[in-house]
Amino acid sequence: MNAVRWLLLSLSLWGLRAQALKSDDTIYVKARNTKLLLAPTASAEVKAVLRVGDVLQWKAKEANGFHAVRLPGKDTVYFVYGANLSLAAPKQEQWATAGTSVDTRAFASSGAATKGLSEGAFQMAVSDAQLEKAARDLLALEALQAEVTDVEVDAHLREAKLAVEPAP
Amino acid sequence: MTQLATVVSVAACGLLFSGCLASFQSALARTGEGISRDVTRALSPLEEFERRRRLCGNIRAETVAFAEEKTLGDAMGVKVTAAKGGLALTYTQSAGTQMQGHVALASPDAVNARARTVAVVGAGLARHGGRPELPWRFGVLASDEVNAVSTPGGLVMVTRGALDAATSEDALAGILAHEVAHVVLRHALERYATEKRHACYGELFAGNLARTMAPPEDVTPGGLEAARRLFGDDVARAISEGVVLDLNDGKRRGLLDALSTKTMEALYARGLDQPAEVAADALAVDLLLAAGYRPEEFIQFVGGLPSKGAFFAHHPSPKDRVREMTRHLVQRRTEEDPFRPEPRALPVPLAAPLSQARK
Repeated sequence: MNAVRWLLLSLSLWGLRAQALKSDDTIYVKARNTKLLLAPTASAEVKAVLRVGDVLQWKAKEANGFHAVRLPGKDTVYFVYGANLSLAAPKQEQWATAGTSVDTRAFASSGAATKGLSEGAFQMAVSDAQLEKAARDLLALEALQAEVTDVEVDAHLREAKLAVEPAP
Repeated sequence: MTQLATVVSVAACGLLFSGCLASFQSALARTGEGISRDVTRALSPLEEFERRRRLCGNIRAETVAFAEEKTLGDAMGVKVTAAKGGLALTYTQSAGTQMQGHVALASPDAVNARARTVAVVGAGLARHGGRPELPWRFGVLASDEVNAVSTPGGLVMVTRGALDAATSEDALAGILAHEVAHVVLRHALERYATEKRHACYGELFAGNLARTMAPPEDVTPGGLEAARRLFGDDVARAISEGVVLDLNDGKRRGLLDALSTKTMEALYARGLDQPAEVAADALAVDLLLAAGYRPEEFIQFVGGLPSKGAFFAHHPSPKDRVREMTRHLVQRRTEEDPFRPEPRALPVPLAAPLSQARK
């Protein structure tokens, strides 16, 4: 029985190995404000700022967590920090009114995600003192969250030695 | 005889839904698809019925508009926050300002520092979750029970008790990651979408149709009718015509109240099904790995939870969760992912100084 288990495990691992990334495989940008760099260092010149969901072609792994990539159909090789990349496309979002599916880039551009406490929830809350207090708390939380910038988050992640692009 | 009954019933459907074509055309115009030549001809009652049945069947969590998701989630968030005694943060508001006006934060104090830690850790995690553009908000509930909740649209809240119980930032990140996973996987929204779908079918199968046409899913005609009553006849009809539901409409305040309560009851009284919880744990492990945290710390935290209690009361037992997460972690570590950072040797101490980061 154990031998069968080991065989199955070996087969599954072999299958996983076969999924290793190859040159020109499609990859996706998963983080906002991802920098497309001219060299594999954080201080390199920024060619463009990529958006969540942008498609790239993977070329090779570089030093210090950077990866060589190409824009689809282009020859020039650029560099992106690995923590901003993903093998899977981000999930699609729905337009607020049309009921149609859009990719994350269009969703971000729409501004739909930047609104505060929904008007409907706010109106519901004012009917009850306890709910109104809760709604005030959530407004304060939104104010707090809005104060937390990407710069602060990046600084914390660097301090904790977590996945984040090195400081330029 | 049965065929005859079906034809008669479908004809009744056509009469019942007079103006089908007009609403169909307007629905198409709203979705920007335009109206093809084939569509402009009047649909037969059977065609119209089939069209609406497909429309109802397409109501899933993934097809709920984001504005609808967020309004529902915010309403649920208001109710959860009220039920748990509010948020553990302090703030000031100038006298006379409107509720939706400027809200000034108090000077950072002990409570705000902890709330800020949660906000920062959560924001770092949400980058890896697959829905990074959501307006994520991470708060601390002023409750001493060990618990955490999330609502559709990106609101995640951990209780003060859970924050006290977490011994490392990795464990806290794991608690938040589990809740982020529920939002990313749209688990609560699926409950809402199910009610909405049933209301749509309830409208469609109203009257004798439920007896002559096969019910769409494993639900009773009574269940469909109950869902239809929950939304109300007008809204159910609008849904069945493909109209996007605007929960911010002032006329639907009562509906939003009822829907958020219903969804919360489904979630917190019955809980999500166990496969959903296992999926949230697995995605939480993936998020922790992608962010560079040690999933072992979260697994250990879960393993230390009592078998019965408030925290994730409807989840699989801690023992089962530990087993499943460990299995998932082992599998992930055998897979090649060139974008995954090197694992940390030690956990991140909780409440690492954030003063540097604020400068």
